[in-house]
Amino acid sequence: MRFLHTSDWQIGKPFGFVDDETLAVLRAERLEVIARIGDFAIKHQASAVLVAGDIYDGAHPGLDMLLRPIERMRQFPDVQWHLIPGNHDAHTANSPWERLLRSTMPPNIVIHITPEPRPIADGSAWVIPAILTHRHMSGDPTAAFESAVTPPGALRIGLAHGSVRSFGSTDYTTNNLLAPDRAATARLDYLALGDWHGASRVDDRTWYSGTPEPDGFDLGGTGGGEVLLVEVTAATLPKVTHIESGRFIWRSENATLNSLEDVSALETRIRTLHPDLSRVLLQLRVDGTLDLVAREHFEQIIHTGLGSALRTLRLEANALFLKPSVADLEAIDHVGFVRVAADRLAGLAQDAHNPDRELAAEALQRLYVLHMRLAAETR
Amino acid sequence: MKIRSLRLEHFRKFTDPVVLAGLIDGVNVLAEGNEFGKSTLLAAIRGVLFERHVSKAASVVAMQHHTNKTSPVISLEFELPTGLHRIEKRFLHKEPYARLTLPDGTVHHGEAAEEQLQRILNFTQAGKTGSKADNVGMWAALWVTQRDSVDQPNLPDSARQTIHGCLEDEVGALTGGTRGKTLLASVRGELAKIRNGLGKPAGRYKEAVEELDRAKQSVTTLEERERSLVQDIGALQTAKRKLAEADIAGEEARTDDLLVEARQKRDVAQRFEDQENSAATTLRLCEIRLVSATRDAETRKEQQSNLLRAEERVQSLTAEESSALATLRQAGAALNQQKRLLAEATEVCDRAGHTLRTARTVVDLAVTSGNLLSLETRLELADQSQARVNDLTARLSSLSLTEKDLTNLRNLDKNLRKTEAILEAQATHITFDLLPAAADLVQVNGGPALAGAIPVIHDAVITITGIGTIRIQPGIQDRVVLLARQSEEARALRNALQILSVAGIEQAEEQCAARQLCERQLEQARIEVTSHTPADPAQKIDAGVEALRNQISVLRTRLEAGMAAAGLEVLPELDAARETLCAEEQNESEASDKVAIARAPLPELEEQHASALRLHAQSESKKNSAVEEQMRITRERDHLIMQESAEALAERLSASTDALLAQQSLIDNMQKTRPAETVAGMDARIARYQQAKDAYLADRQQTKQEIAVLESRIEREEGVGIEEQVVGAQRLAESFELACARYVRELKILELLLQYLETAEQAAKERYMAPIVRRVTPYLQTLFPGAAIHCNEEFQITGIVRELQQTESFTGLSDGTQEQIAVLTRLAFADMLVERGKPAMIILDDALVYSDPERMERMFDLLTHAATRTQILIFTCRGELFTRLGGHRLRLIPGSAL
Repeated sequence: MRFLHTSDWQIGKPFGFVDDETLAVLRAERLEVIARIGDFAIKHQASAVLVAGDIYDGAHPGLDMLLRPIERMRQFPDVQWHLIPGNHDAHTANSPWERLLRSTMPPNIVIHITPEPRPIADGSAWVIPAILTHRHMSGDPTAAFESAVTPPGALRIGLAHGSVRSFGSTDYTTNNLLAPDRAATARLDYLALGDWHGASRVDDRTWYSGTPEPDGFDLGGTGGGEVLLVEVTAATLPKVTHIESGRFIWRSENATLNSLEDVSALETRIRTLHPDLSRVLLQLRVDGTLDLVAREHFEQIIHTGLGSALRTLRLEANALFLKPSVADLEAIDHVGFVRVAADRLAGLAQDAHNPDRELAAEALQRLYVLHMRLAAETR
Repeated sequence: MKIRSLRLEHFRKFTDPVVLAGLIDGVNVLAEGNEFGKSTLLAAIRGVLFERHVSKAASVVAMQHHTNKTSPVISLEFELPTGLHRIEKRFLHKEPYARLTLPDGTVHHGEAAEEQLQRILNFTQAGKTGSKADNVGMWAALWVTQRDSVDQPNLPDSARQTIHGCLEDEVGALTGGTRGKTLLASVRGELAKIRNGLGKPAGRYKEAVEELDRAKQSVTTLEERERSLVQDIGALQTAKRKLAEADIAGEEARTDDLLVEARQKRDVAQRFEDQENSAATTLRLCEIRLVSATRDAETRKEQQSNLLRAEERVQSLTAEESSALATLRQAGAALNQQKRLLAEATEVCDRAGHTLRTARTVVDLAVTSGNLLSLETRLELADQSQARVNDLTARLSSLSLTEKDLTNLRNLDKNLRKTEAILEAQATHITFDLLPAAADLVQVNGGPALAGAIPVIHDAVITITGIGTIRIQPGIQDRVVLLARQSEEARALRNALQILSVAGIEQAEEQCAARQLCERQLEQARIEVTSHTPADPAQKIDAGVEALRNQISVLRTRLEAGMAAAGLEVLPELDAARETLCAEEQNESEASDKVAIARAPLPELEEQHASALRLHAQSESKKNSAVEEQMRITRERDHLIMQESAEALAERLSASTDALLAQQSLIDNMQKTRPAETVAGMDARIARYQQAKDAYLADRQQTKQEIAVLESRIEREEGVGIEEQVVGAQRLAESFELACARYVRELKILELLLQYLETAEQAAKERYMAPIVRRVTPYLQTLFPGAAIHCNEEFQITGIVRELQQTESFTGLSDGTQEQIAVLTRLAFADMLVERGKPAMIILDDALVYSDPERMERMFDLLTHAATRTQILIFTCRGELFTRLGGHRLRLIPGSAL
C-alpha cells in the first residue's frame, strides 16, 4: 500500500508581517502545492493522499477559499484524498466540513467527520480518523483508535491532528495531546499526524509530515516544504520517503557587524543563499556597532538592496548600535554649529544609560544622510 | 576717515561757490535754520564720492540748480591714516572730470580716479541709475539722512560683508553657516511634510492616521459581524437542539389526545342541549298557538261592531254630498253667461285693432314716399356736380405745368440772362461810322457793318474789301468760362421748355395760370358734390353719392314691399292717411272699454264656482271613503268566516290549551338527565388545548424559520469570508499602525535633530554677534543702565532686556528710544570699523528729533565719547539745543572768500 502523507495546508493563512504582494503570492502558493502533491501521487503511484488536518487556516473561510482546494483535488480523479479536521478547522457547528458536505463533493475526496474507519482506495487499508470537534480538546482524540474495528487483514492507518508531547508552557500546546505510543496500542500500521509544520519522525510507525509549503522561519523538524511518501505492508515497517514540495525558502540568519567589511561580507553571504532570492524569505538578526559610513552602507546594501532582492526581509537591528567615528563627524563639518550638533548627538547616542540613545543615533544618522545629500547636490 | 572740507558750485541752490571748511577730528556741528541747505551738503558729499562723474542718472541730474541747468562742481578733502586726499568732480558737463589727489601728490583722473576712490573708501561703482545703498556699502549705514534716523541701519549686502569681515577678524568664520541653514531648512522641510504648524499630523502622516481610523472602524464593524456570525452559529445549534428535543418529548401527540377526548365530551353535551332546546321550542310554539286562537276570537267580536258604525256614517255623508252638488251647478251657470259677454266684446275690439294697425302702416308708407322724393332730388343735383368734377379733373390732367415748374423755368431764364448781361457788360463795342460808299466794303463776320455800337462777345472779323481783315478778340475776363456757362444755361432752358412742351416762358405762364383756374373750379365742384350728399346719421346715410343712391334704392324697395303688404296700389296723401288713422284710433279705444266692462265681474264668479267645486269634491270624497271602509270591513269579516268558521275557531282554542300543558310536563322530566359538562365549558377546554397546540406549532414553525434565517445569514457571511475580511482588515489596520509608528518615530528623530541644530545655531549666532553686542552695550547702558540687547543676523537689534530681565521687542519701543538705539548702533559699527582700520565716520542730518532733554544730554555725552574715536558731523536746525553738545561749530562761507 503506497500513499502520500501531508498536513497543515492552512489555506488562507494571513502572514501578517509581509506586504500585500508577497501575501498574495504566499497564499497562492499554498494552493499551487496541492497540484504538486497530486502530481507526486501520480508519479509515485500512490493511490491516496492522507491530509492530517488544518487544511484551512480559519473555521469560517469564504466560499471561494472553501472551494479552491477542493477544485485542486478534483483535478486528480485517480487519487483518493482523505481529509480530517484540525485545530484550525475543527468540526464545530457549521464547520467548513459541514458546509462542504452540504454540497456535492467529488467522489475522489473523502471527508471524515465521524470516527468510523473508512477504506483507502482498493480496501487493502483502512483509515481510522480522529475528529477534532473543538479547536482545543482536552482528551486524546486518538483514544478511540484502540477500539476501532477494521476488516481482518486490512492495514490500519491512523490519521490524526495534535501534539504527541507537551511543550509545557501554553494552553495551545497542552490541548489535543496524543499518546506517543498510539500506533502500538491501537495496532496501527502507520499513524499519519498533522500539527507540526516541520516533518518529524515520532517512531517507526508514527510521523508528522509537516506543511508542504513552509510558512514560518522556525518550523522545527526538517523545516517544512515536504510531503511523505509512505509504503506500508503487513509484514514490514513503513518505508517513509521525503519528497520536497515547497517553493519558498524561509531562512533565519544572524550576523555581527562592526565594520564596513562585515556589512559587505553579510551581503555576500545572503546573496549566495539561493540562486533565486525572490524565493527566499529571510529573517535577519544583526548586532554590533557601526560608524555612520558603515551604517549608511548597511542601509543601502542590506536594508534597501537585499530588501528588494529577497521575497521578504524581516530585519531585526535593535542590537546594532551606532558609533560615529571622528571621520564621520569630520565629514559632516570641521567646525560650525552643525558639527556642534553632530558632536552632541554622537555623545548622546553612545550614552548607554540614556533612554534617547537610539533616537539620537537615528537623528545623527539622518543628519549625516541629509548632509551628504546636500553636499552631493551642491557638487 | 575724517572730512576736512567741502566745496561746491552750481549744486542745487548753491549757484555760487560755497565752502564748508575747518572740520576737526571730533564733533562738528553745522546749526542752521530750515532750507539753509544742510541736506544739500550731505547730498553733495554723497554725490562727489559715490556718483560717477560721467553719470547722467536722475540722482546726478538732481544736483543741478532747478532753473540754471549748469554743471555742478564739488570737491571734498578727507583725511585717512595715509594722509589728506582730495576728490573733485564736475558733472553734467560736455567735459566732466574727476580728479583724485593722493597724499603724495599723485593725481588720478577720470575712471582711474573713480576706481582708486572706490578702493580707498571701500564701495563699488554706481550703476547707470546712480548710486544705491548696495554699492555705497557701510556708508549707507553710517550717514543718516533726514527722517531716517528712527530706523535701524538697513544694511545692504556689501555692508553686511564688511561687518562680516570685521567679525571674522575678531571671532573667526561662522563655518557651516550656509550649509547649516540649508540643512536646517531640509530638516524643517522634512518635518513640515508630516507635522503642521500646530504640531498636528500632516501630509502622509495625517493620511496614515486617517486611514488607521478608517481601518480600525472597519475592523470593529467586521469583528462585530464575526461575533454576530459566531452568535448565529450558536443560536442555530440551540434552535436545532430545541427542535429535536420537542420532537423527542412528543408534546404534540399528547395535546392531540386531549383534544379528541374533549371533543367527545362536547358532543354529548351538545346533544343534550339540542334536545333541551327542541323541547323549549315546542313549548314556545304551543304558547304561540294558544295566544293566536284567543286573539282571533276577540278580533271577530270587534269586527262586527265596526261594521255597524260604518253603515251609519255612509248614510249621513250621502245627504251632504247632494246639497253641495246643487250649489255647484248654480255657480257654473252664472260664470258661463259672463264669459260669453266677454268673448263678444273681445272680438269687436280685435277687429278695431287690426283696422288701426293698417292705418298706421299707410301713414308710415306716405312718410317714406315723401322722404324718397326729397332724396332723389338731392341725388340729381349731386350727379350734376359730380359730372362737372369729372370734366375738370380731365382738363387738369392735360395741364401738367405746375407753379414749381414755372419757377424752375424762370430761374433758368434768369441765370441765362444774368450770364449774358455779364458778357455784354464786358463786351468790346465796335462802332462804325462809314461813308455810305464804303458801307459795302466793310463786313463784320461776313455781314454788313451796321452803324452804331456793336457789342462783340465772340471773336469778330472785320473784312474790308481791298484792304484785308481785322480780327477782334474781346477782352472779357473769364470769357471762355462765361461762354461755356452761357451755352450750358441756354441748353438747360431749352431742355426744360422741351420737357414741358412749351415754346417759351410766356406760354408757360399762360399754361400755369390756366391750371390754377382749373384747380379752383375743381375744388368748387367737389364742395358742391359734398354739400348735396352729406352724411345723415338719422337716416343712417354715409356721405357721398353712392351712399345716397344706395339709401334711395333701399327706401324704394321698402316702400314697394310695404304697399304690397297693405294691398295698396296707390298711396293716399299723407294728410288723408293721418285723418283715417285718428278715426281708427277712436274706434279701437271704444271697443277696448267694452272689453274691460265685460271682464270686470269674472274674477268673483270664478271664485264662487271654484268654492262650490271644492265643497262638492270634499263631501263626495268623504262619502266615498265611508263607503270604502264599510266594504272593507265587510270583506274582512267574510274572509275570516270563509277561512275558519266560528265553530272551528272555538275548537282550536281548546286544543291549544291542552298541548301547552303536555309539553310543560315533558320538559320537567328532561332536566333530570342533564350531563356534567356544558358545551361552553368544553368549547373553552378545546380552545385551550387548540391554543396550546397552535402555540407549539407556531413555536416550531418560528424555530424552523429562525433556523432558515440563521442558516441563510451564516451562509452569506461565511460565503463572503467574514473571517478573512476581519483578518484582512486587521492586517490593514496593523500596517497603518506600523506606518503611524514609523511617522511618530520619524517625528521624534527630526524633532531631536532640529532641536540640537537650532540650539547649536543659536549658540553660534550669539558668539558671532558678540563683538557687535559688546560695542553697543556700553552705549546702551549709558542710556539704560544694566540693559542688554539681542541682535539678529541682519545685525539689527531685535530686542532689549531692561527691567525684570524681560525682553522688549525693538518695534515695541517708543520712537525716541528706537531713534537713540539706532544712532548707538551706528556708533558701534563705526567703532568696529575704525578699530579694524577701515574708513568710517558718522554724519547725522537732523537726527535725535524725538529725544527728551534728559536723554538728549546723555546722547550728547555718548556722541562726545564716540567722537574721540570717530569723526562726527552733525547737521541740525536746532542750534540752541545743540549748543550744549559743544563740538566744533561750522559755517558755510562763500567760495570767493577763500
